[in-house]
Amino acid sequence: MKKALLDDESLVQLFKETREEHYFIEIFSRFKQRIYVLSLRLMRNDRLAEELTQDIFTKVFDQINTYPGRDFYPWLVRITQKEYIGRIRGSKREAVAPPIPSTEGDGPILLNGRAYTADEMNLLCQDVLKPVEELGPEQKACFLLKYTDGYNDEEIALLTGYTIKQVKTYLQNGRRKFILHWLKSKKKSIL
Amino acid sequence: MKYEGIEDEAMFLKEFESLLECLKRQKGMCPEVDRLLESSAGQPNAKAAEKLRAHTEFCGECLWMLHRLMDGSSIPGEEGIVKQWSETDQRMTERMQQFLATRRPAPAAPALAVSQAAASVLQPAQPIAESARKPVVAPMPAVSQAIAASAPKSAQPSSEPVQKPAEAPAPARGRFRHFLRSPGLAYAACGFLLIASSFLLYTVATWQRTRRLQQIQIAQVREQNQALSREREALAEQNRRQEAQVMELAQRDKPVDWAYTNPFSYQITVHPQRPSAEHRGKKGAPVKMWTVKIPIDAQLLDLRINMEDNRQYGPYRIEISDESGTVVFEGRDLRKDGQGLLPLAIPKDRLEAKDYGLKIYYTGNDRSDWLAEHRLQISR
Repeated sequence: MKKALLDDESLVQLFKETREEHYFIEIFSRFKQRIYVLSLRLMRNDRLAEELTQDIFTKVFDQINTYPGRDFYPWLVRITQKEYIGRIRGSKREAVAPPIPSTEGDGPILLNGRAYTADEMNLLCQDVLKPVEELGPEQKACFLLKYTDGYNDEEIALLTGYTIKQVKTYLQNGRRKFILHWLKSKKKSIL
Repeated sequence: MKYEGIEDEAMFLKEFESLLECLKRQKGMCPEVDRLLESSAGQPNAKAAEKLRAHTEFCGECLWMLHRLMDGSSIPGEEGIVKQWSETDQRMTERMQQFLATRRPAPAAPALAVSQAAASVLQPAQPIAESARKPVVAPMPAVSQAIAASAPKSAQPSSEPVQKPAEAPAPARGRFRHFLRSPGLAYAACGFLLIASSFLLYTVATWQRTRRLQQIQIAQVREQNQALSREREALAEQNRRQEAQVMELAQRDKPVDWAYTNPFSYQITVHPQRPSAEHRGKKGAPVKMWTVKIPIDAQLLDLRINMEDNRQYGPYRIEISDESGTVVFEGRDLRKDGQGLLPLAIPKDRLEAKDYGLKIYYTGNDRSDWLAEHRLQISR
């Protein structure tokens, strides 16, 4: 009855001061559903959302000293978002990390056996970006995840919450659209 | 066409390898988590926002995370998943209990420390000098040292011949003599006192902390009670006002059941008679006038018109208009009753005490025949 009457901030403050388990259990019971739903919206997978929720509260237990003393729920949301970003970035395969571009100095940049100056490289990138910009949001996300971040279809599906079939469709349509716009821009430049 | 069939992934990669490699190279490093979160919360500075925008043009991962962080909408199937909340909740609660169990201090540890301390204190009596040479017992170093320092010098090993000290302590007397002569017992008593005082201190500290927490909680409960009382009073006041309002509205808007109010019946006999064209609708036209005096307590004028025409039923329409010609009351689709009378019930408040025109029409066969026009004078 006493704990139930306490507002969230006081409860967390008490836990911070005393580190007593029953205060933490009360905090957990008050916020678990909200954090689970937030995790679900971020991860789009109930199992991963459960794991994320669990990790968030583990962090709260261990790092309560970093709690600033007000706005507990926004603090909790921020931890969740940070953990989400950390997970996504941590899941990226090391193998796909792009090589550091050799942009130091004024030397040419070697790309697939051809040397480009920095200006040429920028122009080339701008040319590539235009057709990418024309893609729909889902197509663009899948396209970039696949071809610049190096995710495979299954990983994209896990990250985005789409089915693998959807991912394949977005990629196929994205490629088609990319080519169409690429050709269009080439024609314009020739004319 | 050169790019025909290129949607195939392998061909696409082969053809656009250079361009995709260019995209990868331009992506650069992903922004820090805090920058990404600031951007998702809509509070980046202009420079950071531009930098992030430039990055997300190339980086699908950051683009996607930003989209997810900013997208507050629910997901398809969320309701179903949340409906299974009890199972999820149970699983999470179990895991959390397991986690908490790992973070609890081992309950045996303090007991072990105490028993070790007690064992060291209650070990068999031995010469103090010997115990003083031994390493100090870990739980109570200060006590051991103090006891060792206070031990009689005669007990310490020394190569010098034993001499009687100039100021030898007075021999133990009375009931404590045996106690003081046995250093083991003194050691045990000190240890016991130390444990007892530690326990007492711990109890007092715990009690003080509990009391402080209780005071905080009591203050909060009191504050909440006061807030609730204020809220209750405000609600009661609001309730009273609303009840009064409801009663007032109910009184005002109470539908008058005219059938059960006090009707005043008045019968007139009307011959089909229309005024001549020159007098029609004008005051002073030679038409018949009835004066009806409605009693004060009557709520309804039950006008019964004996229409002396050759039509058996009707329908009829009756208009009552004031001197300006405005229709103040109209009865449509009226039919004669068993006695050949046309009933017309007019609420009293629709009729002021003045002169009115009374027009009667026959509305059968999809037409409207003007049958008669008379005058009605209402007085109270």
